[in-house]
Amino acid sequence: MTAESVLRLADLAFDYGSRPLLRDLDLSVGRGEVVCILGPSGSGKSTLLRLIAGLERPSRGRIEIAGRCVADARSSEPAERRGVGMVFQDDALFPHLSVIDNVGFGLIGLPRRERRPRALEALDRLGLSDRADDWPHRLSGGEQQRVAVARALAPRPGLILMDEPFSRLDSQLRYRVRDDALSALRASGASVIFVTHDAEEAMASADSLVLMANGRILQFGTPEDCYRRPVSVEAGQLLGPLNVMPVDVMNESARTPFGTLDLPGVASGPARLVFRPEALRAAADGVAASVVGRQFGGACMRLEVEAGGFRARMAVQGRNGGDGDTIRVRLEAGEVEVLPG
Amino acid sequence: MAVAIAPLVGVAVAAIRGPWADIATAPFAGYALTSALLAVGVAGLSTVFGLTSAWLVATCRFPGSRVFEWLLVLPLAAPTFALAYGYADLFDVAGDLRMGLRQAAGFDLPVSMRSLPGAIFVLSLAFYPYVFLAVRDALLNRSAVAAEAARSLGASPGTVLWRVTLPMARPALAAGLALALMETLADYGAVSFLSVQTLTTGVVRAWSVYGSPASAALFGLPLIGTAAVLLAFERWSRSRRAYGVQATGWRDTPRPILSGWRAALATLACTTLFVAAFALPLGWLGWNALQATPEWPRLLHASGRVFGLGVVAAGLATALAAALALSGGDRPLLTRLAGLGYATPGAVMAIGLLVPAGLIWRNASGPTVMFATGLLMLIYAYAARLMAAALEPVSAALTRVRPAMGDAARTLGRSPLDVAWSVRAPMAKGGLLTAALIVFIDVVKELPATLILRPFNFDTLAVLADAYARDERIGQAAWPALMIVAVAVPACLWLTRRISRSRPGGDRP
Repeated sequence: MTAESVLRLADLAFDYGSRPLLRDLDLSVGRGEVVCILGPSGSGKSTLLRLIAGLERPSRGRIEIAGRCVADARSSEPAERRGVGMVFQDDALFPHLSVIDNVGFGLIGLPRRERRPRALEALDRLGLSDRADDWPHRLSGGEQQRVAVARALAPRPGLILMDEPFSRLDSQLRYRVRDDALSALRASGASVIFVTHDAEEAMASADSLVLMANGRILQFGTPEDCYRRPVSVEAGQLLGPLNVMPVDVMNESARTPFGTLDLPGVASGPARLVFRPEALRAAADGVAASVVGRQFGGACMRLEVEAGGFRARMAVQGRNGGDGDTIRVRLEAGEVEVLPG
Repeated sequence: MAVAIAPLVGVAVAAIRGPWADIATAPFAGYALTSALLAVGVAGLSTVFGLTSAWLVATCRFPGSRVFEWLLVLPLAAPTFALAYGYADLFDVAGDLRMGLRQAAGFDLPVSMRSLPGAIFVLSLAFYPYVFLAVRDALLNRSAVAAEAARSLGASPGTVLWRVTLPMARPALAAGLALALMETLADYGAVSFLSVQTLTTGVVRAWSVYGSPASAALFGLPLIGTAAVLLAFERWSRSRRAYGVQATGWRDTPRPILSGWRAALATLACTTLFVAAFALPLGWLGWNALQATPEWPRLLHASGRVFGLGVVAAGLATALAAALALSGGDRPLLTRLAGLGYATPGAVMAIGLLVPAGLIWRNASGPTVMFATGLLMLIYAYAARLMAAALEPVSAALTRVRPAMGDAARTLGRSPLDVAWSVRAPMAKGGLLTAALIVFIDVVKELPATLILRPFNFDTLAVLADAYARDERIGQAAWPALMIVAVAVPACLWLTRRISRSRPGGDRP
């Protein structure tokens, strides 16, 4: 990999006792990149972060940070020497230290008089310099998480790991704290890896996504790529509802309940077409489909439609055609991905 | 951990090896029976005292109920022998009270404090606070939610009491009772003064009168066995006590305000208990003390010694407990073994230590070695007995240090040792202080182990009180006894306040 990569994982594996938790992980994170690991609970996301931080030892494979091998099957550098910042899910602030002392906790290597300015600078990035001398338990949940981010940021690590850092906050607050935190982190130039199980949060804030399930990486790519071009049904479903339609491909085309689709370059045989609800559009020249389910979703209406024995989910913008028993729909060929059958 | 167990092994070795003195076998059954009857009596009476008062204080409001919450804990600050001196003298056949009664009313009280029932009465008054504290906390710790859920399911307030509130307090009652019984079986000062011969007095007598560690150990073995059973019982009840204590969704239970004759009755009951367990016997002692001229040099000397011993033992036991807890002391087997040390009567612990002490004395003699060994063994006995008591608050405080905090400190560049020093220890500071205070108070009150292990002529306040009391110089004995109470009362109050603050909703006004 390039010298620019801040983190590189090669064939990384981790067993808990005899139970394999992580398998065959390969990943490279570039300087200043924000990478989000998304997966259901139990997929091994948090364990992966703990391996990178040095809080667990890998069973196989290697971890390189800034081009230096920090862990392989034989040896593992302890967490305190890796220079990796970490923000935890529950507030791991030290209750016996004031806010400024929490943030300065990692600056032990600096001369005493330089610590406070550095800690204040980190707090200022998160907009909390006025609470420096307060105590953690007097802060709100959002403020506490900002302090935790500032604390990880203060020693200026090249890599910061965040383990579902905002999941305890309610949704309104979560977006604000997340955006503030990420812009502060981006401004610092550090690479960020954060773990979440919220697909929207992952897509909204990451440069690249790592989709994980059962201890393996399913897909790695930009949010848009992962969303539009899932490499598997499992990967695609992590980012939202997905329609999966089995078809037979013949002569580079397939017949579907929503019309015949041209599939240039696709070999003949059984295949699965996968597409997002938005790929189905209400259109006057479309195929008639009966509406079997309807759910109000604010900006859009979520419908379940049936045509030719196939049930599909679709999303209709505004009040556009959302209130009859039937609806005419068209499937956008450009938004359909073909997976092997 | 070997610290706590070694003396117990010593007891077993000594008991098996012999040679036993003449007293060994003959009164054994009698002593054991007395111990058992004493335990049963104290269990019954302290349940009555503790449960009633805890229920009144925790579930109702009446004049003084706030004050009784801490006032009724105070008997814990008084050593049992102080209560025994007070009551024995008060009800002495030739005492002022009985004389006065005989003259005024022409009849005599058909009671004698120097009897098994008398000992049961005194020890129940001394140890009911264990039951009171445990049950009171269980009743206060129940969130209103459970009771409200029961009400919403159609239960009347009375039904809620019988089917929800009291069953939830039952494990706490068992735990408190187990502690009270451990103390009862271990007690020496009160029962020996009241001329009741139990296994524990047997241990001390076998050693001090007959000079036979083997016989003493023989008396000690059933005590260790019983202690182990009580300890297991206490742990088991405690493991069932966790319910109802949840910080989330916590709501204080509203307490009905009593009025009229009910309020008067509640106040009267609590007042009577406090007067009987604290004010009356200690007041009487105080009155006696004022008639006597204290021997200040001896008192001051003894105070200095017990203060020094207490500080050293508290430091040592707390340091051991902290080391155990910080090195992952949540390992259940280790804490259980430490607990066995705590449950073992001090007298038995001391006998166990005579074996290694004897080895030293045989190989090196001279007054300095004798003195130093005795002192060392004494501090060792305190630490071994009280480490478990110290471990409790330290571990409790350390549970506040969540794993993520340690992980965070590691990723911020601190080594595991540094994490223990800069994160875990400071966060457990309050717990460490509590632990040291508990040990200190127990050392100041301790009598039997000190009697057995102390170097020749090395008096503590408790030993001094015991010596005076043996000579029937109650006025003189009252001075050291009350000095112990004076030290223990503020500490006891402070500890009670800490405990009540630490429960959910406890820091609210």
